[in-house]
Amino acid sequence: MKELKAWMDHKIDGASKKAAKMSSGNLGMNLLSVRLVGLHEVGGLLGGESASVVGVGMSLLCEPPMHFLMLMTPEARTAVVEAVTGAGSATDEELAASILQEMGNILGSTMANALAELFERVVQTSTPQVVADMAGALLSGIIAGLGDIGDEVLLTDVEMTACGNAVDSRIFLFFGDQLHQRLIPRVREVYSEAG
Amino acid sequence: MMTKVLIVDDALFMRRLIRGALEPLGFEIAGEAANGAEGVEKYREIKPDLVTMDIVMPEKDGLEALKEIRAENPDARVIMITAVDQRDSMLHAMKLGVSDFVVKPFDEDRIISAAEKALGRTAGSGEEKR
Repeated sequence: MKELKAWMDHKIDGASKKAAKMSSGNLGMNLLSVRLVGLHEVGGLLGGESASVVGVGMSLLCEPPMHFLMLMTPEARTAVVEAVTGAGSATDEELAASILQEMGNILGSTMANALAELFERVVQTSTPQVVADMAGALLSGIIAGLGDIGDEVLLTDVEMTACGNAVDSRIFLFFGDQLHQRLIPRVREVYSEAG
Repeated sequence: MMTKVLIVDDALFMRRLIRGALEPLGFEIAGEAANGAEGVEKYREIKPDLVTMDIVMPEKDGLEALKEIRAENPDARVIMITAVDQRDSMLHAMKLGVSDFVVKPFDEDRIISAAEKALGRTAGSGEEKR
């Protein structure tokens, strides 16, 4: 996991720079940890399965497919939108949803670009979707859509900041067993090639 | 006559950003579309001088829309705007005749220079190269 954390750290740093660019420097990210968590634990990570959350998700179209999901509390959603539009700005729902959609697009695509580079193949992405629901229901929908994804997901615990304040959010990568088994050895290989 | 621009992007936020960068420089935003199918329809209707086109969109993606637009007008000037920064995917779009690529997130200056390059202008000149 050490090499995976170092690889992910580099990618999250790139994503953080992009988020900052999109928000005049108001949004930032810092990778805290990378670990595998059981699927049954995921719903409990952001206030429990019945907690209201906002999810921004997209599929990474590789074989087998992956899914990128950023989960945040409704308060974090407001903070992220205000970091882009300016605090107190009147923001209609469509604009707010499109800011989150674009945020998910940029971050999910950063992961797609990183995987494309790692496995030397094109990794396309689906249109990002923004969904507000209970954590359990939202995750069940994603899991059903992915089919066979194994028992664990990669949790990248990222501290996101909006205007200097930490916001409650998490980033998950859901992937099938085959890709999971290839990801860590490939990262290790790349790091050993790089010396 | 003002340069007519069509903005095709499914995110309202991005459409506003692009409009905000180009409009003050005298570009006329003649239309906006939220997916590739609507983009092709508006292209036929407006006949813009320039199109900014997102790649990942619902219904019809930007590459499919680009193919259809270039089939109708091989000289169409289209800038692709994408968060997917992968060489092979860019090469594919270049083969389809894209004028330039802008990777998201972008500075206003980047979209302006891409628009001027696509129109064959030198930066800030407002005139086409002959």
